Amino acid sequence: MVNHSVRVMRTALLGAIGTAVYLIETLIPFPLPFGRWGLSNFTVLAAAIAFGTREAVSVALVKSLLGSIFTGTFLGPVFFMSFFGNLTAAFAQGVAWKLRIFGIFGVSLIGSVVNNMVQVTAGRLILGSSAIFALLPYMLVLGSFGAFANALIVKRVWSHASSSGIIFSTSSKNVENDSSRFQSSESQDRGR
Amino acid sequence: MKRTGNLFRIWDIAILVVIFSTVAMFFCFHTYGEGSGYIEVSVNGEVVLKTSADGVYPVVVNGKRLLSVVKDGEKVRVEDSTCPLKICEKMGTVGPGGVIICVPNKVVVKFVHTNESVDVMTW
Repeated sequence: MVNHSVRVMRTALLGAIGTAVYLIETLIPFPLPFGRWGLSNFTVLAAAIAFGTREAVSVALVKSLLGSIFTGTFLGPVFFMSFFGNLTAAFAQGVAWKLRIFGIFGVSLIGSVVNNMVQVTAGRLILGSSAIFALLPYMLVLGSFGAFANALIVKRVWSHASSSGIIFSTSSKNVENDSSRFQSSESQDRGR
Repeated sequence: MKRTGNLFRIWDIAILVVIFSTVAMFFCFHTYGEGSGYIEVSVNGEVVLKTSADGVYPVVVNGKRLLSVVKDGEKVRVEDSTCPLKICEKMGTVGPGGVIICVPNKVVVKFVHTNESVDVMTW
């Protein structure tokens, strides 16, 4: 089993990177006044693929909370839309990867679609009007481009990790291997 | 089983095709920017204004002005919104079939596409 502090460290690192990208991407022009490219979601995608659903949801939680605090939207209507969208998307990506029928792009795309659909549904509940669904087609199309960009980033990270001899863990077996390697290096250190 | 990090697999393409087909169907059956109609402004899900007459309509709730809706011919836009990011103002002008949404103020401005005309109805 993976050490609890390792899990916390991974979540904190990916959450911090995600929050930084979330803030920086507000500077990147987007064709529509609402929405964003969602590039910070590559951290959630990486967590879903490498470490599993639980850590993906944790990273999404950290990213949403810190991002909304820094942008000044915390606990506002927009916060609830993005918060529930991000969390369900992270869960969906974790589950989709476990199904073993999707590639990285497919998992990223599923996350984007779920995120957008949950966001407009939350918006429907907040606004009390289904007019917000008129924005969904634009969000889905632009979200597909964002999903592709995120998948490319994670693919690059995967390739780089593999060439560096790091296992980009994709199953519980690999996680266990990682853990045992971690323990064996610790015992070697103690032996010296 | 060790998994290869394939960027694409066949099911990914299938999802992409479904998304773009659905969006294409939406645009085929939804008309924008042509014909005429009336604007419908709702706050918190309740319709507060329905009109086809040109003019500037302030949206006031509990004595607090949230924003102004400007109808100019077959175009409608939002001005002077109190929301922080002004996304509703940045949405610019929309024609019949279009919609402007201000999430922080919970205001929805719909340009209903129809041949009927409504003078002014306020609630």
